[in-house]
Amino acid sequence: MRDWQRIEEIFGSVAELEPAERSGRLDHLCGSDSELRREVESLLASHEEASTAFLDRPVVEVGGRALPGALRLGAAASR
Amino acid sequence: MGIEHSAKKSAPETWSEPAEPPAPEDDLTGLLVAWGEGDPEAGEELMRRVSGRLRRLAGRFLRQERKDHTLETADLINEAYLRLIRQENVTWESRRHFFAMTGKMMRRILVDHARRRAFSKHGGHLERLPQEALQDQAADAGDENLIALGGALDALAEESEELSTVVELRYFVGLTGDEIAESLGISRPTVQRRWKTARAWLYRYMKLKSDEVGRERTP
Repeated sequence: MRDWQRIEEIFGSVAELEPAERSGRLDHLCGSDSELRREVESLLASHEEASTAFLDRPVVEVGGRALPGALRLGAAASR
Repeated sequence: MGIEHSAKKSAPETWSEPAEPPAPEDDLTGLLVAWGEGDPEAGEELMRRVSGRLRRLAGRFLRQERKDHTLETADLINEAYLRLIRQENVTWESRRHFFAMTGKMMRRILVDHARRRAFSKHGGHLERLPQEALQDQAADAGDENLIALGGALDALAEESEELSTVVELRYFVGLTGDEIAESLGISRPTVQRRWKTARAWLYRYMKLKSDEVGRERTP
């Protein structure tokens, strides 16, 4: 079982950086753990690839503040 | 789930006239407290009641769908459940568990519905008017995606329940980031990080699955 807390922390901090700055930060945060680094890099790639509409709008409405929306994976995947 | 019987049978289909005692949130709070104190039966009863309400609420929404009706979880979430957050005698652990369960139930209800609808449609039931059938292409895509998301969430939950729960509360219950943070007793940045991680994970998984299907269709 992977250490999701660690992955989530590293992913979260690296995703906010400009792509050019990511590699150095990953060197620092992942050290010699190449499996961890691969997983974070893979997630970063998916993060970049996914359309902003993916899962953007909840399928339900709460108090009129959101509208039901489709998942839009299809649109994103066909880009 | 063979638990919706007796008084609930005659319950009207609208949430505005529940066939339940007034102030149900107090009721739930008592059960939550008892559950938090280690009474497993209180936990089961709590989940039964919540599940029953969610189903009735979802049922009302789903029967009216395609007419721009939305699932108004506001009554359920705001008036009853978010109050639980402010109850000091409910432990964080039981609150967190409660909200996680609610998200999971809501997800199951909506994904199961999409599955049944896809099945009955492709199983040959011609129950729609022609003009409605035109809009069905969009509905079909929505159902397919929802079913795929359900499968992806099952896989994600195997990896990390913490990640899948955030998605369920946000996408299937419709809570905001702040509400999720409050419900689960975690910080807003943690919610944000988990959401982003889970979203990237789900995208990767669903993309992979859809590529597999594409390859099978065009060998």
